[in-house]
Amino acid sequence: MIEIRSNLDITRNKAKFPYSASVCYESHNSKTQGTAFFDFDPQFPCYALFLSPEGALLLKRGTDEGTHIRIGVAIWYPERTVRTDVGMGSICSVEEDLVDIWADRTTWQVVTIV
Amino acid sequence: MENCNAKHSCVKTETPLPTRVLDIAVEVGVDTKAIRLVEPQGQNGKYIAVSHCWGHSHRIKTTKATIEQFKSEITYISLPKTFKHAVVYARELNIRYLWIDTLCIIQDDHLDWEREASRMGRFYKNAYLTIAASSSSDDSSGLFQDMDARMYDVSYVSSDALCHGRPGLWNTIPDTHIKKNGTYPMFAFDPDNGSAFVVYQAEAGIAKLFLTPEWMPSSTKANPLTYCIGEFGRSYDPLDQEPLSERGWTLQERLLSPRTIHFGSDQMYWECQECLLAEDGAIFSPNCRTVPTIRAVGLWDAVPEVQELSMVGKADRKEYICSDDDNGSSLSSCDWSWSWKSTWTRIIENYSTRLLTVENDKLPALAGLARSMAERTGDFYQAGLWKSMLPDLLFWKVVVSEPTHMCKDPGHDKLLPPPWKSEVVVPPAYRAPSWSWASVDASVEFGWLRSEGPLTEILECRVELAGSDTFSRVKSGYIKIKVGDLSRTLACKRLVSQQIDNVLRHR
Repeated sequence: MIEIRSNLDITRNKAKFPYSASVCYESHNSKTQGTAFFDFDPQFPCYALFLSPEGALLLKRGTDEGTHIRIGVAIWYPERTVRTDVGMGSICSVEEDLVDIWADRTTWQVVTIV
Repeated sequence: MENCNAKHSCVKTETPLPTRVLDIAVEVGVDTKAIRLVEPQGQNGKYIAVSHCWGHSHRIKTTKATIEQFKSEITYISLPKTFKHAVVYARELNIRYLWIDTLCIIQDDHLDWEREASRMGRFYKNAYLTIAASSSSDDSSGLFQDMDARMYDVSYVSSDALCHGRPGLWNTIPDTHIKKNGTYPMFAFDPDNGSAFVVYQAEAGIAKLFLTPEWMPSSTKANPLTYCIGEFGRSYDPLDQEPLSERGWTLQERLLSPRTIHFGSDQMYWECQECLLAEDGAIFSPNCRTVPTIRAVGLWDAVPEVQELSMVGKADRKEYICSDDDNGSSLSSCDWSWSWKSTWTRIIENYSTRLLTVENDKLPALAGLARSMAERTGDFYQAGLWKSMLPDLLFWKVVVSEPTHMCKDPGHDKLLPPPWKSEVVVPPAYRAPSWSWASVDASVEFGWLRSEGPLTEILECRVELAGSDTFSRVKSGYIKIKVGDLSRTLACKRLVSQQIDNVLRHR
């Protein structure tokens, strides 16, 4: 799971997009943007549990220890991936990005959602 | 109905009658018939089920206090208008028994309600016919609308025009951007009286002119012929805006009923497994995804009274599907998973827009449909989700519409409809685990997850039932998901060899 600590996207037009939050995953020199849809108001920190390379559940810690509660979903758009090492605006191909998002199976963890 | 009886396979022989039915043909004198609540106790017969909105008007209902009286007689005059019409209609069709939930379930007996509610799906599925009071928002409204009172309130827009997907008379014409050799096909439009449009086939050099019925001469309207409603890329349900389609319980009543007469706001509709036919002759295409799957699943087929779900395995399911190839609606095994999932998600998306008087009925109001599907598929149902469709069914979200456009002209912003999000309400009492769509009252929609490269593994999914019905209320639940540590590895392929910063940054 990826922890999302806050919601920051200063370029986002809140008048046009009042009901979703832009989220962004950055690695060393690439950036993948997505959109978070909270069931109610945005809550941070929260955790993104990736069900697939482009879809994640957004969770927060539950009241019982070790449990989580679903609070929304996030959708990641690989076509928005920007390769900063080759210049702003360069777009990686969708397929290339998607197939390369993978999980390190040596570090599996079990998440309980109630 | 005569056509359906003669030409379709929808009609059933006599089926087991529900636990209680109204016998509307009790002989009490010459040409005098009374109404009585009876308990057939396994007897077979033909009966009509009624699908209706309860509404808020005063009504009679069967309770512990009234059941003995109703077994003796229910006076016709005491019935609300919708039920009176149903009695008259059933008598005209010479059908002796009626099933109406208000009168055939003991409303203040919790155990009776739970037992009968769990059988409700079967009651509609086994009905000879279902009468749907589609346009009535209250039992006191009756089946038939007062046409004089509403006539000319609004301009008539035909279903053919509405199915373009752009309601409103001004928008009834599809966009046409056709140019060949500097000339445009002829184009005509009269917003006061109807619409017409041209489809131009460039290869053939042919332009076809389509007229919607508003343009047809009045003599044609008076003598309607059967005609097909075009789809234009989307199916159209003429009953979608009716008051009955706003209610939660009535979705499974419609989907499970093999044959229904809808008493709509503008006209009557016949819906069976073969067609949806309007009184004015319009034939609507069945929902191209839902209906074939429901037919293939066999929801409308008779099911034994008692069936162990575990006895219906995956092998049986495939065999059943493979044998259903006589009407062009069968699903190949490779299509099965997609169709089954697609059907359920469409059902839930529709169901989530509907209203329930009792908020705790969210799962019970769909239990009959879920039970029928489980009987046919052998799948396991957990608080509104199917085991075989995990983790896909976890990926639902509250419906949000934030329209945008790709061009840089800010003037176009004003042409867009405003952003919109479904109202979201959490029920005051626990209803379902947070991962279930049933945990909130909101319009929801499902996204699609790519199947390759699974990032998770569902270890366990459990719910604790609140009652005895597997498909009804739950009092707790959890799901355990095994997930990889993506924060260490999320990267582009060409960057894998480089150092990766694991922190999620925000602009």
